[in-house]
Amino acid sequence: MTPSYVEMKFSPSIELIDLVRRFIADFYHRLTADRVLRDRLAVATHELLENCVRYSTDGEARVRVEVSPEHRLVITVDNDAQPGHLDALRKIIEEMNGHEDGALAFYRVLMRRGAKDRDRSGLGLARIKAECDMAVSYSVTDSRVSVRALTPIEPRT
Amino acid sequence: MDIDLQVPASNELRATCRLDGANLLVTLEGHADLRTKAMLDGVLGRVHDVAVERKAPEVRLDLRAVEFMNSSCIKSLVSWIGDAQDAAPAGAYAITLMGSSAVHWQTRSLEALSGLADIVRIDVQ
Repeated sequence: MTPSYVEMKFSPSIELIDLVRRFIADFYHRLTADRVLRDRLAVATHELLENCVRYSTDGEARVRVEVSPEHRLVITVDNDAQPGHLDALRKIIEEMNGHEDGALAFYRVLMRRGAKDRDRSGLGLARIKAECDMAVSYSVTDSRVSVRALTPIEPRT
Repeated sequence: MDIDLQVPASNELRATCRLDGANLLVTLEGHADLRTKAMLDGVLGRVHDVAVERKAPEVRLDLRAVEFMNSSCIKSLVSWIGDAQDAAPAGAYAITLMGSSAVHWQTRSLEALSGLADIVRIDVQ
């Protein structure tokens, strides 16, 4: 039987990101034989986990990976965040999804824009779209933010 | 001749640098993420200083043994490329980023970096 979801809660620690990513990478291995897709998913998972850990304000980070009956894989991270971060997140996703020249062009725009700012990356979500070929969206309920990355997937037979 | 990179050792990411004729060859190995970003910044800063001081025509950065690199560390590469551009013309050097086509992140990330500046060349095998 194809596993359909995995969900984890963990304390938002940088040291735990790699551990959680590797656990979820094992889950991807059970889902698909496509190595390139697994690598794409692993990169997207890591970037989402880092965002979640970096901006969590309530001492808890959550990640859920789910495959729908329509063969769509969705990675969702969920955390409490400061209003300033929510505004920044909204701006970057709206700008990214509305960029007319495509995901790679927008990724390079962000690279050039932030080249002199060594403290912040700001590239993670654009990377998911440009390098992992995944759609990125978000939703906010009160101070809780969910960020999702989505891609079609052909499960193992 | 080996160059002392003057950065603390890390279990996750290892870096070496040596002179290859007049050029510098820098090799990274391991896992580059938030845990190792400060170290990577230190390595690239030191490489930049050595390249300018020695007037190296080219720095080759071998990433083939880097299993994973997060966006913060990719940003470190972007900033380093910017530093190299700013050093022109007196301290100008070209950058070649070496990757493996068998490692997905390298294929895609190096493609993205290739369009950033004329001084950057990509060598993915």
